[in-house]
Amino acid sequence: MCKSAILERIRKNKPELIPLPDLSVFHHNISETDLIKDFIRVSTESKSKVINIMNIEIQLGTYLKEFITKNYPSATIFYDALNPKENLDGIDFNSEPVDLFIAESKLGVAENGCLWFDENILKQRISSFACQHTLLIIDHKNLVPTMHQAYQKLKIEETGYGVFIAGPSKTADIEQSLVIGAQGALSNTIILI
Amino acid sequence: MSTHSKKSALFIKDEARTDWHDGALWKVRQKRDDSAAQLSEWESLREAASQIKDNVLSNLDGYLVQFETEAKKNGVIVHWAVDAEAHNHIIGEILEKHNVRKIVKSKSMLTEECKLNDFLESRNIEIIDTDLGERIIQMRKEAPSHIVLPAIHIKKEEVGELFHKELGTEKGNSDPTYLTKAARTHLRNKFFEADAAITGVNFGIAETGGVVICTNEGNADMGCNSAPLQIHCMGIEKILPKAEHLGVFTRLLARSATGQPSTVYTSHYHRARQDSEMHIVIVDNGRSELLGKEDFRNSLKCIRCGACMNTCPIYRRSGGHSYHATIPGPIGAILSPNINLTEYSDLPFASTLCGSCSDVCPVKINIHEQLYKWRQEIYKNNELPKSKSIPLKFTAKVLENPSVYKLVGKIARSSIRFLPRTMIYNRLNVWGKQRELPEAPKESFKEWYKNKRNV
Amino acid sequence: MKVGLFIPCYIDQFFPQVGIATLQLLEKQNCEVYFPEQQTCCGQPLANTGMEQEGKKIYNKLAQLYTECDYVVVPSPSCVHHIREHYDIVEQTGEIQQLRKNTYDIVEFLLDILKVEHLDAHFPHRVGLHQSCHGLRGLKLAKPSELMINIPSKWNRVLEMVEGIELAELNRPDECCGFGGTFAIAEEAISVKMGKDRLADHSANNVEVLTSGDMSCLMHLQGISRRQKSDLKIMHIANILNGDKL
Repeated sequence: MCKSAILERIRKNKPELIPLPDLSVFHHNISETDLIKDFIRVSTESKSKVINIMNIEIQLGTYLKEFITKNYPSATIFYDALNPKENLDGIDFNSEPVDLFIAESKLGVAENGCLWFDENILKQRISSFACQHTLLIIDHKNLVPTMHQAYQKLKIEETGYGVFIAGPSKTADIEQSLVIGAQGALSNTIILI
Repeated sequence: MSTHSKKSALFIKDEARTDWHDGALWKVRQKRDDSAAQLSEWESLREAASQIKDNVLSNLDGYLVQFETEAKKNGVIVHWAVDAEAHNHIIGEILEKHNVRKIVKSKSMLTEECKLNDFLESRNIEIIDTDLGERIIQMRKEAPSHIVLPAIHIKKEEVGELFHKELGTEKGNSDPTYLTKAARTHLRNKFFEADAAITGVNFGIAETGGVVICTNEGNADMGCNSAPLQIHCMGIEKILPKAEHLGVFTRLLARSATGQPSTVYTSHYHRARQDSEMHIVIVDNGRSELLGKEDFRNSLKCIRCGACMNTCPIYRRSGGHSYHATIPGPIGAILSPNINLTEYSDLPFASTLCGSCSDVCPVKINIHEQLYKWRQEIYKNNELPKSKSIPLKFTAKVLENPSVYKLVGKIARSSIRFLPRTMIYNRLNVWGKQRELPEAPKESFKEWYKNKRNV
Repeated sequence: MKVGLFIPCYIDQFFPQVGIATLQLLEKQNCEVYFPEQQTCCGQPLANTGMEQEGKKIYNKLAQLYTECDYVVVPSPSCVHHIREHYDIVEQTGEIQQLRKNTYDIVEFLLDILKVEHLDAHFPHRVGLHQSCHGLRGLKLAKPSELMINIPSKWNRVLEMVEGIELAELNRPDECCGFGGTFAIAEEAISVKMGKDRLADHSANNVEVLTSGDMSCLMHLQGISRRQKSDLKIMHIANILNGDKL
């Protein structure tokens, strides 16, 4: 049986136990201002468009409606994960192109612009990938400095699937020329609230 | 001439292309430097990653058993493959059970190692590599030349020609954006038509039984999240103990590979979707044997970032195909001899031992030291060509005997000074092909010292 | 302080001026220099080709020559690196341990042991430093560009003691020259290509004199440069530090 043969050989060949390192050295804190500054800078460098409406007195729903009409004028089919009444499971990505994916992340990472989405938010796992464009919302209070803190806060096995998204999909596989929009979203916009 | 030296000599014949290839990879190395320099704790992260992997190797069986237990609790079906043949057989059986005729695959060097594509194609199963670089080389019927940038050796005009032939794109159009969009359309259908998705695994988490996959294109997720069957192929060494260790590795991987602070997508799979199945195939294929080799077990820490290839001055000027192995470059040169010492005995010599690879390795594999050690193994196992061992055995005897050494030295110097040029610079003089021999002084240092210092 | 001088085989035979400069540098610092005539080689060419077992006799013979010395100085970081790192395969006799502990490259020795702060040298030329791999990554004589730690450059420090010198900045400050021992023959095409690229970098940055601590790198680069009939001058760092003229 493969399993026992493999395990037996490992037990025979493995070295003496070496302890794990202490990772607490990597947990440094930075100011909220720096957190926001870093997040915006890195996300922009990763080719996301970042709109900071932290200091604008407007209801999110209202803002988004205006924003979408203005910036995605030809969009007709939406995957709106913000709206609890939406029948997200009913959307068939195979049959028709879905123009825009909208969702709010509850955890963002300043050092690399990563935003966490799990099955509870996504409903359909393919949603953020198969939509043409993504519009992601993150509350600045939900930003952490690095992946260390992110993984501390998360329970990655809480749902069957979770993904960090750090921009629109991209590739540089053709002569190292960066192309935005590979298999996933063609563009990514982040609204920082 | 060894296989690697023959192939690299051919590669270098086109000097302009060699400069282009070298420049492209050097740029990636520079991006890595810029990215690493931004983290003041970069070297501490490398040290932590190295220690985590040391711990993993020293408790590999424990972690694998824990991983399987947790995965099974999540309803994941776990398989163990002792070698490449078993891996292919297991996957073949799963696919047969589900009547799979079409597969999409995201990048996995492990499946390359096992030659999975050939195996499945012989069973008339369509398998499409969905990573753009992998798709390009699949269409060209080539192997990847780099483990992260599989098509780095191909020019955009060549991709344009290829896509014109295979996808019907405009003749002569080599614009990367245009070509990528064409690939997007072509692959989109493939995702939705696929009966199964196969992926590799960047990290397997023992604590939770989940697998983590990092991509920039989103192709792994497009496949896994639409097909009713997903299969993840994982080498035994890809295990990490806990989710918190991902904090270290996700900070190192993309920065080391391409200079990005993160890949666009870092996906964590724990359970299958409703009405679909998730399988994990745990693969040994020589890894448990390598674990027992004290001098070489560190190479199992590799997280397949490719940084060693980008920094290697030899790799950049000879291309991945010169290594004639699944994994090329410095890491390939220390992994391959374990698989077949005879076939890959040239690879540890495809290096000047400059040590840059060891410095860029995010998990601190002592690559250049292992290259040196493999050379000793190769000689011990009589795999060193006579063209090297015979002259060097002679050299050893000369160096052991100071009077013989002095005589040989004098003869060498006199030959250079007095023999006609045509006699010295002939086909036997490999050094002299493109270089002048050093000028021969009248006196050696020893002779000068004796004369001047009356010793 | 009795300082043993070790002049590597190829320097002894082909570049005696490097040995002479090293000797003179030490004597100018009032060292009592001992040069055992029976020396030949550190054994690196054998070991790098996988035949370190055939080099054991050579290792022991070398160690036996310097037992009376407080230090052993070599104008070659690669030989020093080999002795320090790879003489672990022979029995660790007192002689071997002593040799491994007390062997220094000339630049290391000047700075770390002799604590030299001034040099009587004038070299009004634009100099390109080739940071040889064994010196750089092996002996940590400077910061490799890929490592994110601070290592002050010993080469720069000694060169800055030379009056009139102008240090050029290169496009790739620490890429390997391509010599690599038997690599230079076994992988001739890549070896020469790497050397050509190094020379082109120095040329592009208007270097007048290319220098390094390792004569093996320079031998290879000089070989290519002379075949190209280039104007570029090539000199070992010991000669520059010793005040030798171009």
